[in-house]
Amino acid sequence: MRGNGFFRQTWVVSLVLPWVLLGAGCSGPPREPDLLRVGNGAEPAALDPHLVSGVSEHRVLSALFEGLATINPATLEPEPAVAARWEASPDGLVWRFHLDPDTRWSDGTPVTAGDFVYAWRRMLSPALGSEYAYMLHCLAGARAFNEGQTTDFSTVGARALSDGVLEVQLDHPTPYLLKMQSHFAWYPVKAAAVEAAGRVDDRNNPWARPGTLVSNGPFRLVEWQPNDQIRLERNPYYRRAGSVRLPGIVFYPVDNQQTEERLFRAGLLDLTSTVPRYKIPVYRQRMPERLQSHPYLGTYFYRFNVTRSPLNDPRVRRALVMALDRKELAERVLKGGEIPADRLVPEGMAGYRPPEGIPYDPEGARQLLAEAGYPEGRGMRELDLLFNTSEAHRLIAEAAQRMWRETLGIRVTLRNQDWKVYLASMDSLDYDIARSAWIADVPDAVNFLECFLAGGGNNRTGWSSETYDQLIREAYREADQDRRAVLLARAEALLLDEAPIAPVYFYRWTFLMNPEVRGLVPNPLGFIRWTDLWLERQEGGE
Amino acid sequence: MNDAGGEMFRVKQHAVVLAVVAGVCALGPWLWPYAPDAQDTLLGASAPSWRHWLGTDLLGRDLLARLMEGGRVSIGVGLAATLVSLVIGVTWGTVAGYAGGRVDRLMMRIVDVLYALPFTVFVIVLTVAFGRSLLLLFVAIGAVEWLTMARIVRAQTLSLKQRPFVEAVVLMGLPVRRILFRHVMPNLLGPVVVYTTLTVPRVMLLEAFMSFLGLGVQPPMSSWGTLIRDGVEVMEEFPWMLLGPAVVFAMTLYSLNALGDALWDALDPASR
Amino acid sequence: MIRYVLKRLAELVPVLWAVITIAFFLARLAPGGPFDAERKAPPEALRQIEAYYRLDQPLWKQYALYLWGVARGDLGPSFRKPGRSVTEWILLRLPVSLELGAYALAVALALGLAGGLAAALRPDTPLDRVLNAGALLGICLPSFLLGPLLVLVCALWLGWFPVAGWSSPAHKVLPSFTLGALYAAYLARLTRGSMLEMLGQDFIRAARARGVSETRVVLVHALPGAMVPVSAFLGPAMAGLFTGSFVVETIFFIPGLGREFVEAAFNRDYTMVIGAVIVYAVLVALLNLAADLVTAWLDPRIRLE
Repeated sequence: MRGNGFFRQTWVVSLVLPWVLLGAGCSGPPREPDLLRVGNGAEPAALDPHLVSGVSEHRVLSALFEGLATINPATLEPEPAVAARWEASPDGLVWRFHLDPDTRWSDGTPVTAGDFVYAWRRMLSPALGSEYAYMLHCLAGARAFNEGQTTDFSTVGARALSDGVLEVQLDHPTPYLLKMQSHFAWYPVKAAAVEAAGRVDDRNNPWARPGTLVSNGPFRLVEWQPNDQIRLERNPYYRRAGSVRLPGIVFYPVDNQQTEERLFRAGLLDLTSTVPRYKIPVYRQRMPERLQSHPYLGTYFYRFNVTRSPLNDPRVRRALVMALDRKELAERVLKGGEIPADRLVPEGMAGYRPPEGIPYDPEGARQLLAEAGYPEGRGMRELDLLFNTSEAHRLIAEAAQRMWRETLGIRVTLRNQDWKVYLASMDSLDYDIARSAWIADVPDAVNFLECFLAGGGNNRTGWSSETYDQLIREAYREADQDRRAVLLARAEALLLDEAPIAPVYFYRWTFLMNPEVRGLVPNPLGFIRWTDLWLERQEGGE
Repeated sequence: MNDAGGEMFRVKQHAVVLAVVAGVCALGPWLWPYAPDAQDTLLGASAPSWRHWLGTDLLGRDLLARLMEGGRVSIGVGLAATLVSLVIGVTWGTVAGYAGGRVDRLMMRIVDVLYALPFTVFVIVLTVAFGRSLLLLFVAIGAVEWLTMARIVRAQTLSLKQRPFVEAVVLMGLPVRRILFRHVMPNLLGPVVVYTTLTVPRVMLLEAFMSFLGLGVQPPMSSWGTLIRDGVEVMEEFPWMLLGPAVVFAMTLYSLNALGDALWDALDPASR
Repeated sequence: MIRYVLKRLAELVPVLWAVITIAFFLARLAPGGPFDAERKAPPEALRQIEAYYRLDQPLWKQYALYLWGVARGDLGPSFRKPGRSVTEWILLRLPVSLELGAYALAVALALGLAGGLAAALRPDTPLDRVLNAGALLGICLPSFLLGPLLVLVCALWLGWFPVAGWSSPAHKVLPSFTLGALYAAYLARLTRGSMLEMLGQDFIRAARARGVSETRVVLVHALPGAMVPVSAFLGPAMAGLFTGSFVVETIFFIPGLGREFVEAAFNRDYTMVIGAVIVYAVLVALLNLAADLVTAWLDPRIRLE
């Protein structure tokens, strides 16, 4: 039996907790005009930045913590945060960050460079099994450490030269290094807080809770009632506490879209995580000032299992892509303002010039299919289309099924599985065609393209290409931005040509916002910088 | 209240309604020109009109056609699952009640244990473990419903056991199987028939519940449960997507329950 | 009586054991594991996670270790929500579900008994027919239909109640009603039927002939006996109420155990699933015991053995 303390703690906590909650749960009117009330989708699995992976967690964590740099939502350029300034070596491999001496934890103690090193070490320790550890693989030696090839962290390129200076050594030039710092994978954590509650690499260390969570961002954690609300208040020790205009934020984990929309309409939420699809035209017509719809760096696509015939023939795959009328899918089926996609990397990637995409061409599709030996779909077996349970996926799948039948004469059956089973099926290549999506972690094209490296965990198609891998690896090492963009575009062109995927549409960030909320700058990353926001409540307001 | 003729009239009344509903659903493909999966994305969701009597859904599919297909599935699942639960439950209950003693206690203990498993976990994990198929749906739902059937049948058997004609047959030395199948079971007919008519609507409700969770019928097939779920989501904008399936569903359940009631009154000796 | 209660509680143990075993193996049968994710962790990390949660050990060994833990009161850590144990999650969510179930039960009892009694006292009148139709309707409207309709009408259009949540008493009305409506309908029909049967008995006629007042006849002579099948039904009814609240919890955004459990099943959070199953099994057993005790109290003819 594992000798860590959480069993013992369980008893203590479980005796005390119910009484505390009984008291807390019975109080609290839902209307609190000073606080920003945010609908946050799914309940965060945890508030430990090293153990989470979702957007809902990111929203809360970006209010609690701050990394070396932040992103300006208007320009998507990095801005100083915990690091007041930085400099890089000419080859771009060694960086020095000088920390703002005013940076403090929410318990008043200063944030040091050592806190970053500690955090990154924790993030990369294999025992923790962090899903986002791969983000730190740009650090020299990080991958080896993360994969357990060494337990000596001094081989990894992160060192505290002093309390206020952090030196980082990279494995390869990483142009988006600064932009990545606003992602929770890079946040610092305070060693004393983590280790006061348990072992550093114990996944069940209960430090990330109200009372023990120590954070360095504009807000601090006051209350967390699971599946009910997460309450944050202004952090008085934040280095720029004077510029934070919101006194607090409350996150409501409403995972049902309809319920969330109703709460918003009833005036109980100021910001929602999403909008039910068919409500979008309604809001456009009647309450357009409350609807926000912006391009988003995410692509929805279908994967082809290239290890199975007939999908091992790229002509068949290209025919399937060309037979898909993505304009109709986006405009008539989805109706949410999504942009039909003819390539993988979405619009809005600074400095990237995408290649030609695959057009909608039913005639060409039919020809290609005939060339491949299946004129009008004759002789082709029935294919199955896998997707995870969701209304939107179903609508698109049903429309795609019809399009393939009408244009190519190919019969497709729909297979709907719940999330876990669907992931398992994709991992084990137990599908023909599968619905999928990728949302950018960082605003850089390589984030999309590196999914399709040979054998990568996110590939899931069985496709690989030496040339493709080479192009990507060259791009990793290329310090010149323009040459790098060209390499990546060539890689994408190759990907589109061989078509292991069928792009469908580019996402949109659609949500509802109370006009009393000011200062939110929409951006393709879906990034909300909480320090920018403030409320102007109307009298007798909604 | 004691008018046996009145009871039979009520039985016939509800039976006719059910027959009409089932008949229309079954004959749908021949009666109605639209296919349930014919999409018209240009049209999208439209209100009831002369062309589409119940309107269309988000993909422009005719709702009346989908309603009829949904009826075929829902009623089919209802009947099939009830049949499963009937077979298992009656056999189990008769054997337990007749055998008595330790066999009875053991068998009913098993029923208690299974009863203690919350329905949700049982069905969710079964469906999730074994994949989704209509057949599995029948089996899963039927496997949950048989428990109450077994209890009722056992209670009936216990009371039947005391009756003189059963004692006579036992004395005559007939083999147990013959006694059970030829003499005991036919006399259970009354309560079993009534309970069956009341089980079908419960099963249909369960199927709708599972569809709400996303575990029931899979697209592009539809059942009344999935149609209701879809309709609920958009009921403010497109109320017709909810009203048609909801009304027909409720009406069918209502008739089934009322039929069961009427049969109960008609067959129950106390009210004669 | 005490001996009976103790005996029933003792019988709970093997039942619980069977329930845990079935749930344990069924949960593991499902494809997909708790750590399958969209962005895969590197193989070494996955290996370490699985070792940490003992998922790399043979199944029978995991089972044995788990049982040993349960016997000591430890339900294990939550796989998908690190930082809290299953026991903690259950203690957080269970009181809410219990509260919801209790209010729904109150609704079911109040409406069901009152409706059933009223119908039984005026059989075959228009009132009876209306109440009967109402009860039938209650059985035919699933909670995921009734709930949103109530929200639409009572909360959004009329503004009488809040749309979702569980903080103030006003929040609790619609969900309790939605959950309890079905059982109110069942109870009404059951009450009516058994009350009518009671009232038709000879000893009632004898009492009336003796000149006992109608009120006394109904309340003192008929009612207790009529309540016997009702209280027998209460066992499974309460079990259904408390374990079937998932739909209502989703529609009204109530932080209860039902929602947590289904989420855990979908996420393959094995320990959470089995933990919830155990709680439900114990709850159902206790509720059934309570119902049986009430039934026995009402009907002296039933001997508790």
